Amino acid sequence: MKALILKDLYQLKAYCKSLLLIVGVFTLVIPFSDGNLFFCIYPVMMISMLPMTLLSYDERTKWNSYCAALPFRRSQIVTAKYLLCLLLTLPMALLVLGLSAIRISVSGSGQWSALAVLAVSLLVMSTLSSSLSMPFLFRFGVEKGRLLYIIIVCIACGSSFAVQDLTASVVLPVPVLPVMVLLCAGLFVLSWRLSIGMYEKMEIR
Amino acid sequence: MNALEIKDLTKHYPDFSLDRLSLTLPGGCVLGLIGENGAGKTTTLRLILDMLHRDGGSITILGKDNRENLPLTKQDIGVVFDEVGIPGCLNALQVGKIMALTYKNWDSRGYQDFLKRFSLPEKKRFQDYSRGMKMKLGLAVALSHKARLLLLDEATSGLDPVARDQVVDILLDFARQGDNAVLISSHIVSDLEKLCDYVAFLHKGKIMLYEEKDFLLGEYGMVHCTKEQLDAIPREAILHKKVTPYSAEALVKRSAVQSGTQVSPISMEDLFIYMSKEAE
Repeated sequence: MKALILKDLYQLKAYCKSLLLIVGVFTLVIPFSDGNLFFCIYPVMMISMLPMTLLSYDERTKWNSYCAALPFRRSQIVTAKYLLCLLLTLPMALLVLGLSAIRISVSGSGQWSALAVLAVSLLVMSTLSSSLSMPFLFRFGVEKGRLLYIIIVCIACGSSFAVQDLTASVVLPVPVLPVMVLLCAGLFVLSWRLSIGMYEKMEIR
Repeated sequence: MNALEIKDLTKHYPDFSLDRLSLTLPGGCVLGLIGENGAGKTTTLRLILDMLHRDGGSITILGKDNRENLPLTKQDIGVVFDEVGIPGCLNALQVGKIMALTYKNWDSRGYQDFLKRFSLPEKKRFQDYSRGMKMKLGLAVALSHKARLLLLDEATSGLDPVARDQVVDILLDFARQGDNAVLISSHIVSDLEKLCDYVAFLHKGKIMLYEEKDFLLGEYGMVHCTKEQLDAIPREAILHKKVTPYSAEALVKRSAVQSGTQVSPISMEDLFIYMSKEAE
């Protein structure tokens, strides 16, 4: 499985430089963004999209066929993509949170409860899109799966503005946050198991 | 031990069926799977690797059922597909590092030797290689992890004659080492004629013929004669015939024609073409 992740990292380095640059610019804006959630969520969303982009390259270069002929289990091929998703999005989410914490400390606004909501929002955003789209990508291929992903991005971006209003007016009861974390983690694991099941049944041409 | 045993392999699609295909590839031998485009060669190879799910039959690779812990068996199999499948952004060095983590018996020095032997630039991206170079890199990977069985799908197509000759020599070297075996599919019959010990003709999903190459070339031949002379040849000896007002020619089994009949040798390519026409 290390081989699969190494191959993905080589591809990221080669193909996704411009995307990583955009993510970097958005991340740098966070301390000066006056708490705008779009700047916080967008980089994490973009990063969470990368495993799906790599799946598209795999299909285009016929790596998915070649890989199926190499000594990997189908479950390892799927797991490598989910691991990559976590390896990319979780450090990104932590970076965004750290920068947001710096912004709150420097501004002296004391919106620490908003930071907790942001943490959960980032977790939801970073795992939800992958959790929902990956099984479709592994079952139906990238073209159809990507269509679903675009729909999810539209909903997520729209809802980020709603979440922003919420953080200004509503303080979520503390127990809701761990429950949401557990739900996201559960959904991610369920999606992973579902993708393995679907990919094991799939015929690779 | 047989490197590969396929019995009654069946796979149905709405517009194509692989029909009860049976083949055996003994260790130390090269088997050529010859067929026109769409005959089922790639389908067969993908069924062997369990990339496609068979509808019937059995496949045994190196003594094990191909559904029984196949990733372990694949450690002993080298595969090269028509389009190879290495991501375009990778260079040969990066491919080597990935494969070192993939195969337990990865031979880094052997891989480097193949890169030099094939004159493959180490830091050039795969997408900037010519088709021949891409195929050679695929072969370098397939030959650098002490595989005992090579599965090659159209691995010589797209190569120039010199490169094809080089590849044929390398595959012959591989097959001569111990019990190593090669299954190679192609529609370029001349390459297989040089390389193979056994030949299988595949036509529209069915095996038309499966024999030792030397037996095939000895057993089958062409008769060029008049229509009257053709009529004198026993029917069971004739596999295909073409009669014009002035002459006749027929693909015949030498063992079934009368002694004294002049039978000229036939190339593997002509044999395949005539048999395919007859099967139409």
